[in-house]
Amino acid sequence: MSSNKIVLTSSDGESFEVEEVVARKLQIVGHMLEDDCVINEIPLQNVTGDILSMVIEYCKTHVDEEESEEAQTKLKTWDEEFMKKFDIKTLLQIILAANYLNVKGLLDLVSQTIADTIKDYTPEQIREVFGVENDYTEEEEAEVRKENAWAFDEADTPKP
Amino acid sequence: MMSDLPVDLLEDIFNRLPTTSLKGLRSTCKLWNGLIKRNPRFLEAAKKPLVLILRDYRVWRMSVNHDVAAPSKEFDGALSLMDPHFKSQQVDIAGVFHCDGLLLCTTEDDRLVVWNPYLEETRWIQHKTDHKRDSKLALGYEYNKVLDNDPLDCFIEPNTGVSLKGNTYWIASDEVTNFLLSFDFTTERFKSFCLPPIQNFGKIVLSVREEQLLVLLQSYHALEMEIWMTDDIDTESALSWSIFIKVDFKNLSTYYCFPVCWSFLMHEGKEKALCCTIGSYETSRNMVNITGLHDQYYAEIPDEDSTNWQRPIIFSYVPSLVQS
Repeated sequence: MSSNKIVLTSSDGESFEVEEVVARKLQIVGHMLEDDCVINEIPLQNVTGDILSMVIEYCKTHVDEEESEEAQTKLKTWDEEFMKKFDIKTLLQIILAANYLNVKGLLDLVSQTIADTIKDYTPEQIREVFGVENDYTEEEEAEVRKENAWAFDEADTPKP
Repeated sequence: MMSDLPVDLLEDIFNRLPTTSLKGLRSTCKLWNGLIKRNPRFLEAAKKPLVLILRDYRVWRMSVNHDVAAPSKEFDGALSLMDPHFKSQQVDIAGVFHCDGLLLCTTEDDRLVVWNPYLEETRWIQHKTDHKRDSKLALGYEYNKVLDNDPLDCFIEPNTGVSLKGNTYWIASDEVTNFLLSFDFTTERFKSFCLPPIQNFGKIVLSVREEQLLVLLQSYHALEMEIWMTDDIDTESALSWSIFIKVDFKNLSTYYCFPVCWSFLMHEGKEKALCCTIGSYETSRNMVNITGLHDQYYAEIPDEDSTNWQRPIIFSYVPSLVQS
């Protein structure tokens, strides 16, 4: 693989010079390179510099994915440590970026980390973090909370 | 704001959450509730038959405790069927026919709707001719229209229709006898079968359990009730019926006011039937009766809150993602 350098530019104008093999981990870049192989600078409109730098850090680490068990374990530990750096709001920005840039491994990793983080959240916490508006009326929300018929065993548990 | 997280990313996150967490997140917002209910893992966990009952013009979830000396029932809330023309107004349901997760409802104001209560989806059906109160309606597989039933040389008992393997069965009668009438939705043909071999029964109703067809026969003269079942409903020849429950009411009460059973189902995993009756031995209120297989077990649970004489229809419902 050539050590051709490619410049990735974020929506807020920050530029990152990376090796082509790293840039190709971003499938969106990979496709652009296939379409026209003389591109040296690629503007990425939907991702800011601070998030793009994290994605690039992930791609650099995962650039040679070795098959050996030892290498896999090492990568896994790195992934875990890497994810610990971010709060939930940053994770949500990274997942959007990973989706836009099409980095499959990172998408899986962040998706799992978000799931692990929010699994004990209350609906109020979820709404705050995800910026989701509560479109239920008070009665409707009480009804959904109370209603357990569609879920598991409570509905038909014999009453004491 | 992150509310623009694409649905496929949200679903991917949901797929990684424990089912109990999914359940708790339903009240986040309507979009999340809809996505979670469609999540295959959530659906799998929710796929547990519910007892639903049409009474007081609403479909209710019902739980019955029949393991103690004093059995009880509880209506766990009505499933809301909203009027498309008057938001936040519920529709009065006159009749219901259940087929694989979909309910075909006739309303008090003579409209027709196919309803998936689990997904809260409805499809209101326009019918060409005026839908008559006495027409019998049914829902079958791969069928997207409602047939006004062809003129038949028999009388179909109201509210007896059940769906089994996509076909519909009713109790019908001609001048001579009662019989079982089926409609095959693939061939669009009616067919008739014999009922169990007992005479002088008064009221006959049908029910299904898994792949079995059950028939309840009440004899007002002999004060007996019998439930028969058959497995081989696919047969072209005569059905083979076997008796399942027999209760002799003569020994149970000195009253001779026979409770008329309008619908029944076999309780999941129990050798007991839940029968919905109008009238009882002691009062003339709507009742849910529990009739056991062994020891002539019979118990009545009055429906004190019922304010009308709508004939209760009880059935077993399993949530499904089928589109209405």
